[in-house]
Amino acid sequence: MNNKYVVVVENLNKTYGKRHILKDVSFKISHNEIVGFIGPNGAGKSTTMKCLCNLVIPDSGKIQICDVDLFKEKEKALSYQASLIETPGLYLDMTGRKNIHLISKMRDITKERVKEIEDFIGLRDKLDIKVSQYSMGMKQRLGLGIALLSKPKFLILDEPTNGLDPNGIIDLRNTLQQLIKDEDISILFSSHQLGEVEKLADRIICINNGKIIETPEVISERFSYILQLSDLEKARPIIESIIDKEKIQYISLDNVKVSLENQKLLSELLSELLEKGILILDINKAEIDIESVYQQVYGDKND
Amino acid sequence: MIKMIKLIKSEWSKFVESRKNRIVLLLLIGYLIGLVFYYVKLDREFFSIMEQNMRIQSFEANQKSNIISILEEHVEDYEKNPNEVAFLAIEGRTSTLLEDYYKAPKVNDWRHNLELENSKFKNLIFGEKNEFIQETILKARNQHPTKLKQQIMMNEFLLENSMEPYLSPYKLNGVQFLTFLLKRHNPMILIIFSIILSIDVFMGEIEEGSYKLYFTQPYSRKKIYWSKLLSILLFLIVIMVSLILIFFIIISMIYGIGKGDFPQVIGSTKILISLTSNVDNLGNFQVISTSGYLILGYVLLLFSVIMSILLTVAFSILINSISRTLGLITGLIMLNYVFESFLDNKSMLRFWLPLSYLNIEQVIKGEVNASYLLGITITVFLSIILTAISYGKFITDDL
Repeated sequence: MNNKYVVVVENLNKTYGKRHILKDVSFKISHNEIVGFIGPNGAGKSTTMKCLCNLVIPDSGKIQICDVDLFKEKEKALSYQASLIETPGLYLDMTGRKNIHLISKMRDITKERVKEIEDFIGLRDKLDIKVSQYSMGMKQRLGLGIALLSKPKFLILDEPTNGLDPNGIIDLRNTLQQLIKDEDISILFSSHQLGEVEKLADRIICINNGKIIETPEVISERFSYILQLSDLEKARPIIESIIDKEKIQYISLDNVKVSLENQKLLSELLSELLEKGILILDINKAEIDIESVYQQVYGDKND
Repeated sequence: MIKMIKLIKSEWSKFVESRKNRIVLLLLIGYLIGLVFYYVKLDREFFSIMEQNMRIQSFEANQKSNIISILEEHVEDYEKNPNEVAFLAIEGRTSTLLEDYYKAPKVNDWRHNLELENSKFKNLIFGEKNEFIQETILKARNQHPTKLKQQIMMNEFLLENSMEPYLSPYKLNGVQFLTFLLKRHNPMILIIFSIILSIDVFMGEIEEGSYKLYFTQPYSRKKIYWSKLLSILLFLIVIMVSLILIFFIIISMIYGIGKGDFPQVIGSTKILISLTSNVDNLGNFQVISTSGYLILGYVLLLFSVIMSILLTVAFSILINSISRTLGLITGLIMLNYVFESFLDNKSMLRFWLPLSYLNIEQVIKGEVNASYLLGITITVFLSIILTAISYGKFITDDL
């Protein structure tokens, strides 16, 4: 893959009758990036995601998955991705195991990988009962397992927390976090629940009325930390070598506020500082004001 | 090609795992078993029913003769029609003799029986032509002049070629089972089974939601469409052929294979191999062997099954609903029954309506204005058009 982006979406447009559902939707997703996709109901989240997995054909625009044009080389582009759109699409008359085997045969998956995924799903003997008897949480796990069978480079999760109880949501979050660690994958996932998105995503894309809107400042600054350091003067060149100057705010003689693109940068920064013998006296994470984000993304009316 | 094979294999997994399909296949097997028992029962009861029928027909003819005698005796101006008297006398006598035959049928009597039957049938045709007996009465007795004409032709062929007929027309054996399947509403029922099995091949996944899994795999919609269509055609044809073959073998082992060269009366070649209406030739027949008859019948059945599947699949894609497709298809089949009951056999609607061709026995026997070759041509033409329309919609539709 030459490009650093796993997914490139350019000027996607879609109309249903007179309704313009997607208006020049464009975004990019980098390698190993977890991107949250938020927006109110009817904003165009699901349509965008369905365009990415070939369920909806856009009127115009371009989608590239791992440098492959989805509309020119459909099968090749689709082979790099997997999706879980809304409630998991499964064959209810089949057992969980047969659902897995159906897709594994279609995609030439090795027996070892199938076994790995069966272990990952963790349903054990319940894999041999019909999917119609599964709870929503079990279906989500099975759907996710099937999506991961082919070791996709890009995973689309549309409202993965829908229909799940609080335990199911926690379970899914843990699973995704584990997945990010274990698999070489980029994820685009949508949710109404900003709290959920904020916990998982490296970056957030907002959509409203079919248009990608500028990410509210509070979201882009959600990895903001106030550090109290033993020697700020000594720390200054180290901080500025890792973080852009405009994202650094010197608050007092020993306090500095830094806005990071992702959490990994924090570890990098802290280990550099410690290496140079600078003590970290205190760290505070700046909390997001969710209400103000909702207002900026959804507007006054929750349309 | 490898991708298509993979898709067809996964379609097979889905087909056999479907609870609905398993139930329908069991019902189909049950129906075929029921059909065998039905014909065994008809065979057993044939002689007593025929004996009773002949007794009634003889009684009716004698009663009418008596009425004519009484009228002649007591009504001064009454003029009897000597032809009618002769007709009733023959009808009474032949019916009585046939009653005797059916009371104690003997294998050696078959020549005599066929001759008797032909005398009775020719007399009935004469009677109907001269309005001594009404066509509706003959139809109710299953002795419509067309059927009588066919039976006479068959009997003459058997006599000329010294071929021994089956004692009962419902005598069950392998070959007879195959011919029974082409009779009456049996082809229609086989087609209904095909429709029920194919109705959800596309829309089932959409309504269940599993399309989100299947259609997002690295296979183009074009491949998915053709694999689904080919699969359902292949599975249903293989299942139908296998079931019919299994029943044929089992029945042949129990009751014998039967005679492939036994004569069957079909419509004249002019009617069968025609692309234009050929009303004037209706009622003209020819004799062919049962094997020839079966080939003609099963070729038409195959085309009818293919068209019904394509029609069902296309409707389900175009309408976007299994229940509405089921309603529409049921309506069309009911319409076929309505037409069969109320349309004149010479009607042009029978000629153009593809559903008319589902009554395979009537088409091959040239009993209605629905020519065999035209039926196949319309079926192929309609199938191609429907497939093209549904294909276009399927590959471009948003899900």
